[in-house]
Amino acid sequence: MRWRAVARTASNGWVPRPLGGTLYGCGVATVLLAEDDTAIAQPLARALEREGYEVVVRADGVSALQTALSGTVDLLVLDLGLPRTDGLEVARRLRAAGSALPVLMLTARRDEVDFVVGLDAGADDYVGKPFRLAELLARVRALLRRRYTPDLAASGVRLELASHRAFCDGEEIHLTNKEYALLRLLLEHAGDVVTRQEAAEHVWGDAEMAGSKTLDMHISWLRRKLGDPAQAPRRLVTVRGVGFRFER
Amino acid sequence: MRRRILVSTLAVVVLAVAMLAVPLLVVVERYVDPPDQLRAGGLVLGLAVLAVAAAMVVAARAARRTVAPLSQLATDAARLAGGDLGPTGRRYGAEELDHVAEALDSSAVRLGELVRRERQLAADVSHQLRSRLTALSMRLEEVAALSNTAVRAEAEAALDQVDRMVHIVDELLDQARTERAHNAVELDVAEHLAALRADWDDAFRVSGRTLRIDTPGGLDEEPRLRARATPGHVAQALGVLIENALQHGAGTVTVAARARGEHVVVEVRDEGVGVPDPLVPLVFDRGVSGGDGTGIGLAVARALVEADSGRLELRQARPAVFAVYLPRISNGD
Repeated sequence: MRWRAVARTASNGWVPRPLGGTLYGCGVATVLLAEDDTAIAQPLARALEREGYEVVVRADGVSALQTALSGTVDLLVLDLGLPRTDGLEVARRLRAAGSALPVLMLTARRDEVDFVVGLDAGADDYVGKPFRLAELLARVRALLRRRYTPDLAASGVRLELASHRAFCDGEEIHLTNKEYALLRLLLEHAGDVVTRQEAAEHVWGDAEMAGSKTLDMHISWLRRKLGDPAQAPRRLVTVRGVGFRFER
Repeated sequence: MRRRILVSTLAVVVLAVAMLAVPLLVVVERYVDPPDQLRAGGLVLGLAVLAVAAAMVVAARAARRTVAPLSQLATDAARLAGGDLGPTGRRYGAEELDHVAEALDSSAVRLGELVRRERQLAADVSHQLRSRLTALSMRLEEVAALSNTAVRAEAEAALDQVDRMVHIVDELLDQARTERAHNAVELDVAEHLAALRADWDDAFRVSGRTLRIDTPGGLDEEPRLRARATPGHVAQALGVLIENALQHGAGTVTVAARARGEHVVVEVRDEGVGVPDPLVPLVFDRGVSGGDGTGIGLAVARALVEADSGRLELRQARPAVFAVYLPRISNGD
């Protein structure tokens, strides 16, 4: 069995990599594990290594942040109870520094409100302690996958392309397929005008739709779902006689 | 209370007037000539009525003055009972009343400290238990992953026990939380913030600063933004944040509320230089900031919010943005 060989060889540096740790043939993913409790950090690091990831362990917030910002890791597994700078603050500073590194937070505070606080601080996903390894590894895989299909976002509206979900000011909104396609097109060109012809061809595959009321109706439905007032839209603006523009 | 003072004062005055007026009327009846009797008697009676009326005015004022501090004390005591744990610092210049006021203030401080310690303890217990259980389950999973079938089955059985233990911990903490939040009521956020503004208007006018309250759509917004919380806790916590922004911050102070999924987030921000880096991990520690004699500190403010199953966080250090998270009552329940 391979995992046995892995466990034995982990200490001398050479580890056979099962598929889990590779990134679409781009080499091995490196996971930064920020956890000060060695009784958790050690077995967790070994488990991640068994999955084929490179693992770097940091035991305090300051050094975790430094390593996270160094650009050498692909994912941060972040415990919230770190000494010196706590996990939430690490996530905040990471995001304030403009990093888009996926962050999976680990927290012993597992009330729903703690997850909201964590997501607001910049975490992408969370696992409450204690957790089953399978659950944690599934989240790690999902986050690494998501990294390679980046989100589209502008003016507080975000499309998660990997999961086909839409968020407005952090709250999920439910869109029909056409609305989603239209919003995606607009977000892909956020800040620029999307002409009626482009929208018609892209969303309906039919340039004739450019002159129809259907396009306008979809725009107005989108505005309603995005909480954008029709008279004075702030996000989805009509460019008279040309098309529409999604504000950055 | 007020009526009793009024009635007893009046009774004394009426008695005194009667004691003077009755003999006078007798004298009038005996010694004054009949044509002048009516005039003299009327004069005596008129003076008596005037005396009683004057006594009534004086008594009413005295009663009001005695009762006002008492009803203020009663209000303060009721606020304390309702979970508003901020010392008022109010004194009345009357020894007995000041003793009561001091007792109320020190109770408030002690209760706040108690809530803080209880929260700290609950958080520590929860954190320690969960951390140890995590370490234990990680080891067991490792055993399960690296062993043969028989040992793996044993490890899985042990993991099930860990799961059950986690469940028990969760239930106990849930129970504690429900008991803690027994004062929580349905709170209309826009209304609450409007009342808060009224409390702070003077302080802002004096310092020449501006307080902006930003609720989605203001008071006319439908559906209303509603939270489940103890009004006193929220008022205290936001009070500390506003006070901090007023003392240590600069520019406009904005208090903005919005819905965030199942929660209401109220952010307090200003336009100052914010919290210096070395202070960031310490702002919620006891005795670091806030509470300068009057009012409560950030540590207690955080505990009060957490007692309502909410959270108080420093969302941004520069400029400072504090956020209070509260459970939201969505339209449906």
